[in-house]
Amino acid sequence: MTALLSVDGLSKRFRTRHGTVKAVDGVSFDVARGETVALVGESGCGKTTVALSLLRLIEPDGGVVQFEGAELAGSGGQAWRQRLSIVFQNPYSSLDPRMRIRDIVGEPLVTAYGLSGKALSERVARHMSEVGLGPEHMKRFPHEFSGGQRQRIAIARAIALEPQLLILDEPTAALDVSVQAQVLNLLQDLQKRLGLSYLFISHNLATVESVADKVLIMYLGRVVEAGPVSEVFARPRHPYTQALLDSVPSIDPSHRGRLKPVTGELPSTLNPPPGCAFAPRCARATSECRASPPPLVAIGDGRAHACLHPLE
Amino acid sequence: MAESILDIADLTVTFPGLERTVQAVRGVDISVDRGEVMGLVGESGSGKSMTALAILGLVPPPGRVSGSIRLAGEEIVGAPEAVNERRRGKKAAMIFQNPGKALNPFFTIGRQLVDAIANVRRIDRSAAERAALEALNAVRVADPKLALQKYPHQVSGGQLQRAMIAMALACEPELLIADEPTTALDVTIQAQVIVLLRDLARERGLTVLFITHDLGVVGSLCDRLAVMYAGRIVEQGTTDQLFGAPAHPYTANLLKAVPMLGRGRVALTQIPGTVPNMSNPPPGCAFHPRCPAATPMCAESMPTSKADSKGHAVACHHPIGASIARPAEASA
Repeated sequence: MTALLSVDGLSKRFRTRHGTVKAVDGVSFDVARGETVALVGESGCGKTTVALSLLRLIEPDGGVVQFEGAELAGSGGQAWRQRLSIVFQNPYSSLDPRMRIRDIVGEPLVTAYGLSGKALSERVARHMSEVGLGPEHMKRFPHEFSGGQRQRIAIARAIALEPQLLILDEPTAALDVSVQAQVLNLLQDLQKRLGLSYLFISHNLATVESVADKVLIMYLGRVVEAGPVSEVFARPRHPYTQALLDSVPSIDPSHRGRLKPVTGELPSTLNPPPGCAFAPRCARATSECRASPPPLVAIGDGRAHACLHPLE
Repeated sequence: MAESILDIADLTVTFPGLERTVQAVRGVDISVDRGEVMGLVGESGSGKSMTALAILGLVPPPGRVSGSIRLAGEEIVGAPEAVNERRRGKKAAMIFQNPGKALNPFFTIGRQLVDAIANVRRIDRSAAERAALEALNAVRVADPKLALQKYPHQVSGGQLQRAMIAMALACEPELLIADEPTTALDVTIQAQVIVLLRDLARERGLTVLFITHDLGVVGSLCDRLAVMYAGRIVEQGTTDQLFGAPAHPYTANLLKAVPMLGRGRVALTQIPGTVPNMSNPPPGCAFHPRCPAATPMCAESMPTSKADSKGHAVACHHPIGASIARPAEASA
């Protein structure tokens, strides 16, 4: 069966005054229908550049992006918007403060289908009820809503054109802790009802574990490990994945001594190490690791890693 | 009995306005012993940062502070600003969420460290520079000499936060207040800073008040916790008590609402509603509109905090578990 979204060798470089940054360097993955794939990594690893490239909000330099086995014509535009959409991290900056909710959610419908009047109102009301908001909210402005409600509005707008895939870029990171569960549960519920696929971008491993089927771990523009979440988190093969897992503070007091942070910091994206980008922080690194970046190799059971000396 | 460094009693902070008055802190009691790492946990608007600012005497106008804050035996509330100014850095030092904003971009890190240390400890600049180097070493900055010469934009966020911790440490405060110091950092760097603070507390007997919204962070760092909701402390106790047997429904539900690594793919417990607006907090227990255990009594009377014999205190009419104080019959 062909995947809903298939990404092969996606690359994006940015030229800056100080040199060229390889923000995304040959990233490949598939997303099946109804599946949640998480893209995990720290700042500068390229996860947001992947998202923006898929949306054609930036033009990638290389790589092939296919929907259901076919490349979409053109770059961006309606064909794309009707396939995939995005929910951004911060609903305080992603909603226009001067627009009413009806117009925020309805705007894609006006642009794509030229809907107006009653047809538009009914459609907007439908999408708002899908995210748990009533029609009485339509005439209000974003500032009248709490963070959790704003994120619901952003989700209603994102699903207005009935896309097959939603990109969720840290959708709960800006929300209060007690409200995050509401939004995560809503997303799970929508996925079941509408058969959506999600590309879930996050740096929070605990959140990823609770929502995702598959996970891609990125480090400095490359995927270093991929596979089913339960497998990868239980038995990480790449030392960076292990380092991330060891860095998650635990709520369990018996785990208090177990925080084992990896030393060192993320290298500069302007001047990355020549070999494996993680080698300078890696206890297992050898001269081979520093020579050239190891390729991502499949190891069966849907798992893959890019490491010459993987963990057992 | 351990010596207490910080004693806060019935602290309130209000911001009067023309149309509405914001009650940021509504009667907080906390005490922190020497050498203890105390976590103050709450969501945005719970009053945790305002509590911290009050300890430093830094509540911005038109904020009004009442109650008592005794820091190393001295009263902060009502003291003249000139007196509180001399206490800052020395009695209590603070590190902030965003180290990039806490330092001046126009001066080197060294200049800013030396200025602060010389001023607070009343020592000359060469002694202050030695203290700065020593502190940078203690916070494990790779090359302290080089770090002193750099401008804030030339180093990473993790290194900047270490420099801020060094600045605070070199002033030899009785209490270090850390306000979400790891929130802006990457996961692996956050873990480094947590381990650093934990080691400093152990090795130097540093007393820390650690403010955060992240339950995982306090779980791996703090000895004791106070959970704040809508300007009040709803539960207080050791980390083991609160995480092992939370007594307040807010604490208990928050623990189930936050994804935790190792739980697998599970549906999260939802806490309905949102954090209250502090210009108009709900009457009675502020959590009652969101609480599954709420009864009419909860909307009428504000529960007072009651502690059991082990020091686990909860402010709830219907606490979870019988070991905690029984529901107050009619305190209205």
